[in-house]
Amino acid sequence: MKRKIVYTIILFFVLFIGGCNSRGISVTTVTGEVTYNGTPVENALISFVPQTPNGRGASGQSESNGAFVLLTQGATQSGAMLGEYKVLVSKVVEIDSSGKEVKRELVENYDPVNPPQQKMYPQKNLLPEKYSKEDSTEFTVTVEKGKNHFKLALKD
Amino acid sequence: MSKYIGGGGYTNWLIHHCLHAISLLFARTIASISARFGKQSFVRRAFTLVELLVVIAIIGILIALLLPAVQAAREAARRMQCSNHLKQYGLAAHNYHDTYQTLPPLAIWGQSGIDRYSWQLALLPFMEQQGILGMIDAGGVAASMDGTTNYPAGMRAETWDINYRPWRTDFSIRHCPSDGNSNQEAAQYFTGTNSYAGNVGDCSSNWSTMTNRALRGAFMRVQSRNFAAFADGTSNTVLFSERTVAVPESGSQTRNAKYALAVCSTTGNGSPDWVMGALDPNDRKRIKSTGGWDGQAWSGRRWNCAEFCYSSFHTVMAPNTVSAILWGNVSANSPVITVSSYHTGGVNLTLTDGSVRFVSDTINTGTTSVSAWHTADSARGTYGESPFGVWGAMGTIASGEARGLE
Repeated sequence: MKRKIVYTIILFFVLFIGGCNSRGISVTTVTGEVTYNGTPVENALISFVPQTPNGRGASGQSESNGAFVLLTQGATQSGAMLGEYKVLVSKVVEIDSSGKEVKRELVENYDPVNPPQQKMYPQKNLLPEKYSKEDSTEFTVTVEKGKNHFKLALKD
Repeated sequence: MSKYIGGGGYTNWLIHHCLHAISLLFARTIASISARFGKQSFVRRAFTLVELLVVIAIIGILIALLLPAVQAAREAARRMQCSNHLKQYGLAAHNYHDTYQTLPPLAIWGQSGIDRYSWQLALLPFMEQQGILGMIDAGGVAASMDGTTNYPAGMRAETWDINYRPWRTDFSIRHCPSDGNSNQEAAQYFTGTNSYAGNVGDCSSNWSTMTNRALRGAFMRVQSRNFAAFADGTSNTVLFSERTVAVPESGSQTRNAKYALAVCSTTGNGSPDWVMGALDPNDRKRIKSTGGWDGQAWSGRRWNCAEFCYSSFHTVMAPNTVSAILWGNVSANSPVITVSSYHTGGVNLTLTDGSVRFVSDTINTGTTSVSAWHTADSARGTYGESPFGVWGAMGTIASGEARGLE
């Protein structure tokens, strides 16, 4: 008798806690690394363009060793939705007249009434242009359940 | 369960003690019944373990069932109040249209040539806030907070002037009750918060020159639209929605309360992908990339101002994702403002026909890649199809796709 009651109580709590499901977009971890002619690329933008209906795009930015983690709009965790994607890789920087990359400093305490003026520079993609277009990219990947790791080796 | 129990305060305490009293009564009843029908009548006996367990179990189940329900009901009530506020805005816009045959513009010209007065001011007479406009029209020392500054009559004050009483006058309709930050005190440059914003479509545009792209949503910058311009149908186009108010915080970690206000590097000024890519995967309220501006927490903190980050939103990114307040060059400041709220799983919005809907975070947002953004930029023009799925289609007034929520 006592045992039955204890079991009933446990059952109730299990059922109750089981009802606390979270909603939202379910994603799975997607990591990878970007190399260009064998060397890792820093600050490249990686976009996963969904090829499956109701898919959602994911994107990430690479670290100094070329590694990246994908994020998806609306998901509460890092990752991408399951399905097939085309992968776009680009690294757009501003260049000055000598063709050097312009590094900008972080500006703190921005004054909205008298905003300091920034100079505009032309922009350039440091990676081959074919990797930034959906119809010319060579990378088509499928994100599967579990952990995914993609090595993106870019060549001229 | 823990998310429900936290932050209940007084109500939690009350429920707890009520339940305690009920359970004591219950235990007494059981004890007296068992005493009356037991063999040992007129002899007080102690509780058995089973009785204790049963009582504890009942209390536990009651608490477990009641607490989340109470908390969820309170949030549901707040959400309902929020949708009521949006309904008021929708009605006000319709009454404005009945009077002037157009919707209000995003920005109203002030008398000193300032084109920064928000559509909020245009709707004030239709929301029983005529007093604020009366104060603006009268001017004088009565319109100042310190009681000494003599303001000229009419719309001449700067939108960031926190000494100007009309800007500091609060009315509850402009706050979403779920957003605890929408009651901030005025701070330097920030006159007062508001939760609701107008739809400017799926294109990011430069505020000062408006050269980048035309605004394709319900609001244009200085001109105004009438219902005839909504070729996709007023039931398929968003008019107002809500956006969380940012939390003031200095330093390079620009945050708002829900998601980061992205301050992208000046390069790659383009697509939502750039904004997502710049997010730190380990702390999604933080932006990884440096360079460019350290954006202060601006969003929604100047209710009377028409600049994008105060008055409007774009139907580009899915609800409750990242906003980019200050990206691109500051002289070509083209933000992407995303709707957001503290309601679970989505945001409230007013459609142009005046109805209020709840839209889920998982609404279809189409392709948001860099190439789609740029191709679309050159190809779509004023009336092209939106690349941002159902959400983009609902943000544009005449893009040829009558896609609605259903």
